[in-house]
Amino acid sequence: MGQSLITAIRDNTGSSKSRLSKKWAKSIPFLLMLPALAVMGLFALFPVINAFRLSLYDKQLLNPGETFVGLDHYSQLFANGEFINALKVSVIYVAGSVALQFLVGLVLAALLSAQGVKGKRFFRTAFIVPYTLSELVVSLIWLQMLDTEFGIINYFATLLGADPQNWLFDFALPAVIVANVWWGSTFSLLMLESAMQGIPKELYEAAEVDGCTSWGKFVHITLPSIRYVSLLNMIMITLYTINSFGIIFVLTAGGPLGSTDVIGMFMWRSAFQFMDLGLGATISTLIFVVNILITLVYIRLFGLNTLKEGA
Amino acid sequence: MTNRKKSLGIYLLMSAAAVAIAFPVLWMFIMSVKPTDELYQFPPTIWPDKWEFGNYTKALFEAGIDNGLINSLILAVGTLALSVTLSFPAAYALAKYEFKGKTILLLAILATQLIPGMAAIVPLFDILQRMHLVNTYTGLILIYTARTLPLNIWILKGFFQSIPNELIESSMVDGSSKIASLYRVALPLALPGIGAAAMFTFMQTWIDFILPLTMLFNEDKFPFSVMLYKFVGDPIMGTNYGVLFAAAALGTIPTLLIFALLQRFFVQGLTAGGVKG
Repeated sequence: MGQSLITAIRDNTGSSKSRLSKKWAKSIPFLLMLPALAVMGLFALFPVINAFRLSLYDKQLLNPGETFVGLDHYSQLFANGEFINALKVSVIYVAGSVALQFLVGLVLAALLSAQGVKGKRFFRTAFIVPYTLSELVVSLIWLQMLDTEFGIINYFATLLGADPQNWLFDFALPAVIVANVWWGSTFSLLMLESAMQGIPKELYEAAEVDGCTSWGKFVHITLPSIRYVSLLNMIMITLYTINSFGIIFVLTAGGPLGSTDVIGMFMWRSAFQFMDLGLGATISTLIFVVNILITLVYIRLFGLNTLKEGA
Repeated sequence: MTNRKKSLGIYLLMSAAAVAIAFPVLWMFIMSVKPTDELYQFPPTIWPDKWEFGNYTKALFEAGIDNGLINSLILAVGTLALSVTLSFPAAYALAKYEFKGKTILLLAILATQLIPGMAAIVPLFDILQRMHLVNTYTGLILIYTARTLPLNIWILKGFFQSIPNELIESSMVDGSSKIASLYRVALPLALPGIGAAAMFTFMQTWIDFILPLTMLFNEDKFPFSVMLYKFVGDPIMGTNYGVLFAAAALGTIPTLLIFALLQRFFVQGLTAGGVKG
């Protein structure tokens, strides 16, 4: 794009005016996109490359010096029990979060899309509320609600005849999953509901004539019609869950005994608590590889053509 | 009869879900008006015996959350301004011009949206350090801008595509240049799209926590979220949940209002940017 600018300027000195304006016209879209692409290139794309580069160096936080160590960090990581543990915890955390988040979103979307329901706006607003909260505020609310001594969840538990629990110790992983699902289900709800709105009403009317039950309509019409959006939704929330750890950071900081130490948490601690930027970058690189693999699955499942149509 | 029964069942289910989902947020507001002794009693009072609005003034003026809210506003509005300004011409170019490699470029932009930024926090720290932008708003705003650009470009592209070319061409007959016509004609017509993009950007920036926690060191620069986090277990403030939740509520009210008022806008934007692809 810089090239065409230079050519345009050079042409200005020699050739005719019409050729100049033609060159200019050609470079206009690139000039329009240049600032946005530059910012994205430097702060969205380059970090992926930089993570890999850094992973090959021994580099401490706040220290400008770096030494090349090759793939040392990688072999170090796979011999590290904490890292292996983080992988296992991440799989459970992500699988649990995604499955529940999708299910809750689906049920809420189905309820909102039910025929003849009034007050949709009110209910949708109530369902959306968690999404307006900062990750930190979500964590603080759950931290207080799960409190062993004063928490309201233990109060509800005693009402139901159960003993008070030390939730963030004995049930740490389920507790952080619940908090995360509570926060994230809105996103699934919004996506799935808009997909359901796109289903032609005639399909349901025809099914009704055939004497189809509500459940039958849901299974035979709604679910097949939203399968692509569902898949897209699951992939998006999978990526999102892998790449976020704020709730865990505040609620458990990875503990107790590493039971909630997801990969993002492990990465953050390595880089910013133990000041090992090189090791942190190595974990980042591995997370990026997983992200890219999931993205490829996405492209494979949807087909590149679906993407191009959107483009 | 069965239909009425069925819809009654749906209303019951939806009401139960609404209560369960909204409760933690209501709880935050309830906690924010409880006096200290009521916060530490079991069983907890669902409805406070005494209302303590002093938590709010304490949060704002003694704990200094006012400063945090202003910082959050600077970050969110700065990002919003930069991201919309940059995505606007880019989206226009992608909607109205044909050029080689356009599809690939669009896919690449979409791909950056699919690779979320949290894993980038370590390499980004390194990049900011090299640019001397650690502990600055500029650094954070640039990262947020890069993160929100893909979605904003996609949203705005959709709006531009719906503006007929004739409208823009007719404005060029009287000799106005392409760029000028872009702003004169397309800008007003794309306002709803800009609104949706602006809202997304504001929300995303406002609720972020880990990034400013990592990239900012000076307390007077902290956005409200990081400031709030520093109060948990603070030696002076203690963990005074009353003040803490008053502060949390203050930080939540802006996004809650935006959402309640512009809900349809938001869903529309989400559909245009995320689902259609």
